Amino acid sequence: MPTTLEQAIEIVSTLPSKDRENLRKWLERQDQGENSIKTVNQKRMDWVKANREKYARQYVALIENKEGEIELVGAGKTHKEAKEKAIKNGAANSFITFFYSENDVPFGGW
Amino acid sequence: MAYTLNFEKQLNYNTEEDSIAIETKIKYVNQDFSFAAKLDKGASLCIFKREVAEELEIEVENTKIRQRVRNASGGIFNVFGHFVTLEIADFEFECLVYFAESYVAANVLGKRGFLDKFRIAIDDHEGKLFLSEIN
Repeated sequence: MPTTLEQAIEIVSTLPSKDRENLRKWLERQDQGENSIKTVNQKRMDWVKANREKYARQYVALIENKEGEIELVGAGKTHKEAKEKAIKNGAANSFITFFYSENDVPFGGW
Repeated sequence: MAYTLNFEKQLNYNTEEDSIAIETKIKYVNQDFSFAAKLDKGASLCIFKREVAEELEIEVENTKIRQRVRNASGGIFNVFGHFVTLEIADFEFECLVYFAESYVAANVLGKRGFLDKFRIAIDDHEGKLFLSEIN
């Protein structure tokens, strides 16, 4: 049976102050991680929105650079081509994705 | 001439069923949800039911990536793109998936976002799916 919030509060209230402080820091780190993922996803969406028609029907390799901006490090008609260009540009761990033009109507299956 | 391919993982599926259903875990921020998705080599995208997004507290329409897609009978419907993490056969990868605006019959793993990230072989007689991630 999962622990309820009331049970968790009861447990936390018995912890010594040092452990409660550690718990507080852990929760803050969790929140920061959550915000970080949301921020990267939002930045990727913004990049796709801004570059959608230019790179439609292509694979793009993206990284978050030191300035925290999404940067294109490779593009191509195939996943392989985009990946190879990204590696050539020094980005072995880029995020590779594909998107269509807003006017395209691709086949969704079934 | 004989050909040999090597794969990292093997999944078993039920050959009595009409489709190849793959156990899929989707992760978004600190939530995850597991469901069965059908492998569809003909589908352009990975498209999931709206309920999958709701399990992850993703607001389906809250995205800048909107797409119209068509189905086999020519009908057109709207899907909304979101960046998520998928876990399939112990492979974990980020990808752009789409959630359907309205009812769709199945969750589908298609070419863009899934098939393009893997080397895949199917032995339908034995109900085996072989997978390797493309590095």
